[in-house]
Amino acid sequence: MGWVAITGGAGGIGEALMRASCGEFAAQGVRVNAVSPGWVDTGFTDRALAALPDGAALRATAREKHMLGRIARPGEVAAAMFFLLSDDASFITGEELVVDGGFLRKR
Amino acid sequence: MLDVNVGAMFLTAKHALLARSDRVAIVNMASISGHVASPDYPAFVTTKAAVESFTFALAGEVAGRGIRVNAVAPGWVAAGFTRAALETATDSEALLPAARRAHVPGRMAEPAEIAKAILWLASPKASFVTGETLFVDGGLMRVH
Repeated sequence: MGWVAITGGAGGIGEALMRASCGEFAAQGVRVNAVSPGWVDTGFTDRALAALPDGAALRATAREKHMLGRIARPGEVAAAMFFLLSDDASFITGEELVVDGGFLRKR
Repeated sequence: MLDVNVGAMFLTAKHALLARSDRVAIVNMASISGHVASPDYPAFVTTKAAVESFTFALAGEVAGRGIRVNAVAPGWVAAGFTRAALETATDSEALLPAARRAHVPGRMAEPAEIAKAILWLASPKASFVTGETLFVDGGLMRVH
């Protein structure tokens, strides 16, 4: 059994790195995947919103932009990372798992 | 093929939703074939793309009820269906090693590896995942 590596993070750089490295370390049996969250209810989000004049309104709008009508709990992003790291994901590599409550697909 | 791959998926989802349970999560079977040209299989490719469209469309439809809808897209799976398809192919002897090599691990998926992804998506552990297609393809879509 080889190593398991993971790149966390939304955005192009993380995904590009994941794509490049999934082929790079294939021979060593390393799987490389990415988790792309939508909005997550963290201190980071709180601080970012607090710095904005319309932070409270923005938070309400952000909820509506996810199909599930709320933003993610940190544990929900962690659960996806744990799944990808586990042997249950033994045939998953080079994949970007979107954990966004349907944000990208919502009209 | 439309009846089985798309019609059956629609009816299964319909009856799952009619169950009126508060513990419904739907996982549909897509395929890498929804994304790549498979010579001689235009109908299969079309239906598997439809599986993904239906998946995110239905996800938006039922999200208000707290119901999640996702899909799993396997690559080649070492299953009876695959064996049967390979046996009827004219170039089956060359096709099998090529199919294995197309995946980063150099082999096809075991059926259980697909099942584990389905189980995860169906579980509360995937509570913020909806409208998503999870590729369980050993990196096939990424590597050339």
